[in-house]
Amino acid sequence: MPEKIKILIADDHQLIIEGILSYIKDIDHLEIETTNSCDDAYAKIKVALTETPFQILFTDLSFDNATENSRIDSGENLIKTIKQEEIPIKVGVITGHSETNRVFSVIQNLNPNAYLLKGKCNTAELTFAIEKMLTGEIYYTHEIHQKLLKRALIDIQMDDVAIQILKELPKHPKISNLEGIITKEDGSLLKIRSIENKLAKLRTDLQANNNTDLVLKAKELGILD
Amino acid sequence: MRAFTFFFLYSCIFYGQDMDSISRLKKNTLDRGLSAYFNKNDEIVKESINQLYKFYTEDNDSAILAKIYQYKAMYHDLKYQIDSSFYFYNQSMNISKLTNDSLEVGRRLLSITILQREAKDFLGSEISSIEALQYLEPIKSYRYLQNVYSNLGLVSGEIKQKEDALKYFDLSLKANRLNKNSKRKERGYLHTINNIGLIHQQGSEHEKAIEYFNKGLKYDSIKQKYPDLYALLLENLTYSGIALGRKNFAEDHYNEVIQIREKEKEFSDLSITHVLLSEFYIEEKSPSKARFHANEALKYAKQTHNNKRWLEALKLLSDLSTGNQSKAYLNEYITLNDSLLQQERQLKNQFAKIRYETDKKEKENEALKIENEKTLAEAEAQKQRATIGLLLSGISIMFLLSSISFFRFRRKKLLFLTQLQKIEAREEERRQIAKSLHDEVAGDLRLLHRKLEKSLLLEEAQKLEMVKDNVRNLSHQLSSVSFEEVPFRDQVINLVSDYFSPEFIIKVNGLKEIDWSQANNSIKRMLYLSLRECIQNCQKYAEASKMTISFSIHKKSVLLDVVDNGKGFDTATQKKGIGLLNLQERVQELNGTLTIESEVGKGTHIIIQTPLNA
Repeated sequence: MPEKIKILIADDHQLIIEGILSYIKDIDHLEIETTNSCDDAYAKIKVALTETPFQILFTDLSFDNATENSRIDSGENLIKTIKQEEIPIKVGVITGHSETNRVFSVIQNLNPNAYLLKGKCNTAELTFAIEKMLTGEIYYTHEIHQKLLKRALIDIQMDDVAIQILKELPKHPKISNLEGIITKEDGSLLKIRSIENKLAKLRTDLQANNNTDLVLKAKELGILD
Repeated sequence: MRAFTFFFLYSCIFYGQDMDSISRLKKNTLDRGLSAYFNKNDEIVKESINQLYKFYTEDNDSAILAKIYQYKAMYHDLKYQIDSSFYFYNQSMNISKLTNDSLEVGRRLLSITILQREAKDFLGSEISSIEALQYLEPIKSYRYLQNVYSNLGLVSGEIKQKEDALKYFDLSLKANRLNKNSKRKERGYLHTINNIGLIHQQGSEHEKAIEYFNKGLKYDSIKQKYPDLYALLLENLTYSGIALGRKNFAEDHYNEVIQIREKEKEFSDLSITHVLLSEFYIEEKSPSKARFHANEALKYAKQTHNNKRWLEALKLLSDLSTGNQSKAYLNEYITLNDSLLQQERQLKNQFAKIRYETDKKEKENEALKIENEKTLAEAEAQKQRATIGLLLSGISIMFLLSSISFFRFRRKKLLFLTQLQKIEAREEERRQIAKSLHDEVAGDLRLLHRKLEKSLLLEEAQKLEMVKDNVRNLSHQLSSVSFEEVPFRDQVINLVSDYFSPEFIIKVNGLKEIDWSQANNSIKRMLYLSLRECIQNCQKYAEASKMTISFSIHKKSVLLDVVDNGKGFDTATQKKGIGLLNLQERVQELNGTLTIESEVGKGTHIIIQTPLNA
């Protein structure tokens, strides 16, 4: 990394900021700024846009120091504002919130570039996350990843069409044979294109390399009996 | 069945015949009575009246009652009881007036007007005729209009109003032309022709009179068809001929008339012919013949109460006899004349009285009718008031009931709302505890953790890390932060995904099919917490490998059905743990029910039912 990477860290607890700083102080080429409030973070990002913009923002989700006067009172709202204004900055979440509801809601609605958990994170993970973020990839820490995978499983389990496809897939050598077998909820038949799209999504969700792998994974994960 | 149908049909036919025969019977009776009247047979008229009475008692038909009065009047007419006849015609007319039968009213008035004319109540007759016109003209009953006009003409002739008389006869002829009944048309025409001739005869215009009489006599086969009219015309023609000195066939003509009238039993008219013949013989200087005919005239006149001819006959006899006999006839003439004049006056008075009384009665009836209508209206109003009262009381009862149920419902709802508020307050409390756990306890622990790490007390640090995680989890479980932001469907999926593993497969049914926006938040929260309790219990104790969660809606309640394939427990012996007790409390708070079915070795089935909305 030849140039300096400008990072902003926002957390209401100074102790956490110190901790993160202690983790990443050994990483080279980093120019780090910190703040304790969302409003300040937003101001800093906006100001930096005119000269050297921040490339990465790490933020907590809940800011307990937010008052009624705060314009932005949570990490969620900070991310939302940045996305709305289309500010070119990668956003990573470093938080203690691992409740599935919150995790899922943040990931689905705000689509952050990274989701790390305070308790589990260390220098190596942070370095890896920063690298991934800079290349435009997404990094979720292992626990979050597992949560998302399980959630996908439940979704697939409730998706009758997906279950049909997964069950029928091993019986047919060609995918095109599936056409005319898979039925939708209203009884109409699914077109080959839709089946293929569904399969692609299933492979992504279950992180399968190919269709055979997909069926194996589904069995392994308990989707199929 | 067939037999019954047959019987039914038969009885129908029989009944129909019965109806038919009754109306036919009535008509027969009426026709018989009427022809008897024209044939002057008073006995049969009386029979008809009795017959009609029977019909009347059977069905109280006011038309029949009117007919009864009419026939009574006819009967009295035949008996020469003019005032009674007049009275009954009036009664009959009044009934017909009430039933709005214009034709009948007109017909009765016609009879009345003839009666009045014959009793020399010319003014009364004229008034009645005019009234009859008012009834008959609107309904265009030319058959009777012709008679009324004819009568008016006769009345005008009697009071020497020649012009008026001719005018009325002209109108009578016009009506006659429009009449459709051929027999009556012919008779009416001939009568009127004769009457016009008579008017001219009275005015001593005998040439003109003869013209009309001849016109009548030349009518097609009059002698065969209407011998009475032929006789009348012939008589009048002869009279006018004599007045003009044409006496050649006079004797023969008069005799022919007498012959016809004797055959037709026209006794009243016979007296006229005999008077005329008597007069003729006086002129011809044959007193014996004259006396014979005068006597004949007297006989018939007496018999038929033809007062005019009676007087004429007496006068003739007085003239034809001499001395005492003549004096006796003259006396008789004078007495009769006086009594007749008196009778005439009396009759006129009688007529007037009857008319007055019926008018009075009519007015009374009118008053009664109005009174009746008033009482009817009163009764109607009373009825309406009663109905309104009933309605009002019904409405108020309904209102009362609905307000009771409304207030009961409201109370229930208020209770429910306070319940909800209680739950929310508790949620708020949970949130506060969660927050302090997360921020203060966990924060302190984190600090301690770092210190321990720095002091290289790694084992202690690891333990502390576990405590910290527990505290954090506890905090998360307690709090429902961001609960409102995540849809219920996702919440359930997230919850399930937290516990899902290949070793503990959880299947969810019916979640997506329900529109959760219609469910109350507290209820959704309760369902969520209950579901979590169930899953946790199952995971902790049941050693289940599979669990099926089903949501469904029945009417206005939500059904949550959780089945596992774990080891189960005996619901009778095993005490409920704090978790299940909390679960039950939570469900009951929201008017729901919790049912747990389990048997050792056969898994557990938990059913939670709760209203969809408050």
